[in-house]
Amino acid sequence: MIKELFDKLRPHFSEGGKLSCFHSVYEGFESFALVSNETSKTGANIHDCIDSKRIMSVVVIALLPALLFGMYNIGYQNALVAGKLAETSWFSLWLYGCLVMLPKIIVSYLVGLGIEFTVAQWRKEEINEGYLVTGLLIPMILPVGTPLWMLALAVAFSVIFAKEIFGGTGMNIFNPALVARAFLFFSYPTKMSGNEVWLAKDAIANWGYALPNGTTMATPLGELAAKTQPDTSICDMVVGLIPGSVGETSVIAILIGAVILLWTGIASWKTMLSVFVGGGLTAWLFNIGGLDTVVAQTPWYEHLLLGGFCFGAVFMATDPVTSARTESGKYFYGFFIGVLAILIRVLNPGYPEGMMLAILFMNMFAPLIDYIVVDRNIKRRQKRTLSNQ
Amino acid sequence: MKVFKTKRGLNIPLSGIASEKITTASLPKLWALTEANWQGLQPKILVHEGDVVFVGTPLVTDKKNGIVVGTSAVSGVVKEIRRGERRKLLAVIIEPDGKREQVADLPTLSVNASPEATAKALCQTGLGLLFHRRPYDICIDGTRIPRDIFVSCFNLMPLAADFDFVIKGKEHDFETGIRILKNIAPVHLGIRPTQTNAEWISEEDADINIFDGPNPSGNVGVQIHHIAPTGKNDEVWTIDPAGVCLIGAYALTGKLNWERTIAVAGDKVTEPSYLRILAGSPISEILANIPLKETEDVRIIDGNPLTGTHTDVDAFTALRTTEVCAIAEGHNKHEVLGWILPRFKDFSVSRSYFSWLQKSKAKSLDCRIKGGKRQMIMSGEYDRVLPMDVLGEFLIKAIITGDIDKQEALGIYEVAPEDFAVAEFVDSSKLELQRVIREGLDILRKENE
Repeated sequence: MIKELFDKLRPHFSEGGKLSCFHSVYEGFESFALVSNETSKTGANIHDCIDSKRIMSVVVIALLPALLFGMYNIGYQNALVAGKLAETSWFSLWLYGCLVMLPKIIVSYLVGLGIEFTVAQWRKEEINEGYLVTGLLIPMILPVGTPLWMLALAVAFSVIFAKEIFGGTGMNIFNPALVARAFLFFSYPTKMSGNEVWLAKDAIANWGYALPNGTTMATPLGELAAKTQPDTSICDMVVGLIPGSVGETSVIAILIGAVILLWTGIASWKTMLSVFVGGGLTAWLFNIGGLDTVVAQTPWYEHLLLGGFCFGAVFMATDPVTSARTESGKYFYGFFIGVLAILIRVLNPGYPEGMMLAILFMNMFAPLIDYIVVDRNIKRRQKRTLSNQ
Repeated sequence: MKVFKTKRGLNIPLSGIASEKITTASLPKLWALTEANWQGLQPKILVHEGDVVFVGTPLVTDKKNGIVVGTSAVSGVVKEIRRGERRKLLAVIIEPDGKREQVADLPTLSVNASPEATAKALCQTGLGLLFHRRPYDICIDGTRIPRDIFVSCFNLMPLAADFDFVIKGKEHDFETGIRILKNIAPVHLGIRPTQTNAEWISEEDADINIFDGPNPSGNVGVQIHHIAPTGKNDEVWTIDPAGVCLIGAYALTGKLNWERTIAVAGDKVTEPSYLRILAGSPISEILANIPLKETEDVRIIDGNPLTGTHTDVDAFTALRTTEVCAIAEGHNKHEVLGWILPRFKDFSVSRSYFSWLQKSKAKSLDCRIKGGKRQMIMSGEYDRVLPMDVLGEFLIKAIITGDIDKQEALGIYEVAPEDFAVAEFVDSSKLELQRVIREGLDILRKENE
């Protein structure tokens, strides 16, 4: 039946049809609904059923635990500050968070996919699935207080300038979700950090509690940067009932995502592990190094649990397009992300969190790391050729 | 004997493997020497339609050097010289007279001949077309004596013919063939661990290397890479082991007998088994002996499903053909939301599908690409199935961008399209890797020659 529907619609969207300007959209929806029955023309006659749609949908599934928990945490923080945590059911907390997040996700997808569809049509290419992940990541790595118009602006900037001008999914140098965050971080710093942005303050219909303007809630990392010792327990950090960007707070939820990504082989364990090793080692060196600041003396394991470290290591650093593509290069790439993230946290008083900048910075260096690894392969071959002669 | 253990690779369990049963086909009604046999050579036709030919009569030659010839495997009359666009020679089709008379003055092969004399005799008898040369993976032109000759005695590609079965009864032919090849250059045999005690293996005549690892460890290119990699100025020859038997049989009897035992496999074949048939026979003759289950939505492949070429009933097999497969085409399949389904019955290297639950169960795959072509997104996919010290992804990119220096530096002279067959299978971006490698090699050959 679905096939018949698409067959019926096809003439309208084909060249010369009334709706031919939406051909890419039609094709995108058709390949979404029906697996293409295009058969191989040359080379291998048979193919594995893995494709980029499957890969992207698995990443989206891996993100869901963090998203669902993030929604709950939005309601939880709202009720906590309102002082009405005891009388609110968990479902109401979650539903409120869901209602806060849904418009963000919808705006992110509408703007991002709108641009992607337009560009695909213009280039006469198939729609790429890459934005399915990016579009979900962007609202998850922003503070809950980010206005929708700002989100839309950041999405448009990142899709156009971080992705499409390089040639689309697979060709970008920087992680588009992090570029969106960096864009807002530098353009609207007051809306991206500080103590006011981590709370949803408006009630939606009967859910949530309206909080007065000026209500503040500091993240543990914000407190550390402000040279005060946060009273967050390790348990809170692991469970994630602390303020922070929507998806980043719960280590358990991120861990579930990590297990999915590693089990399916979609994320590289080399990158992921190296980020933690690099970060843990650097934080430990600061611990024993004698630098007398609160953030430098924060135990190394707390550094790994706080802020966006886990989220960045699991979902951002492992983005195959922007990370190092050689197997040995992945160790260095991941390691230096961990090192830089902690360095920024400890040594830069302006930025409480360093994960975003560390990953973007290493995105830039990933091709250099690959160059060195590839060059070693080339030298090895040259040496062998010379010795054979 | 040296043992090379390779970890990278992938065995694909396809259903329809040929069972160990041989049917012998009668002499075909038509026979042809097709363009698949002179890959990389510019053919010059030597006969006209209506000419009477015998076994061993030269039909085509290499226009550039005129050393290698393609000879007839039957006696009869030239029925058609088939040409394509711009008069490109596609095939010489002969109607056999059923007698298989051989020309009188064919050169003989002897065990103690010089390298030049042996190579010349092979080229003149038409047996030279059994060889490919590396780098470039094309037919030899007979102008150079190779550095080495490599023979891989096993093939782990899905549905490929099992040489252990094919060689039965031809062991002496094989041994003689190796002794003939030894005249030209050192011979390296690549075997798998189970073949270590095979009686047809002699360490006196050849350097024996054991390759223990998943597909494509049976690819001769992988074996060359581990034993003695090829560079820009090298020339090594490769030949399939059943081809060595043909050479040995000719050396022993003086009769050119192009009969081969090929596997007819795939889940669209009624009874997947082996068929003894003249190389160059029509596919229709093969299917007359071992019929298809159905004729609609079937793809017939000359070769195995990973490296073979799409062919059809009217076409002819190549002289090097070791198997003919028939699998589902898949044009009629319309899977709704297939990319999110668990796909228990399909095959995937990715654990995101649940086919890993029945890992060893033979699967029935069709020819759908099952996804859209994309830029390279995932990294390391090719390297996981390429058991060579070659950075596949970077080599492919260098070829696509036309960076010849980089291609050379990254080892394009060490690879052949078939080495990337498994990588092409697992590629989630659905790129035509074998075509890319072939184009890269062709461009380099034009640059260098």
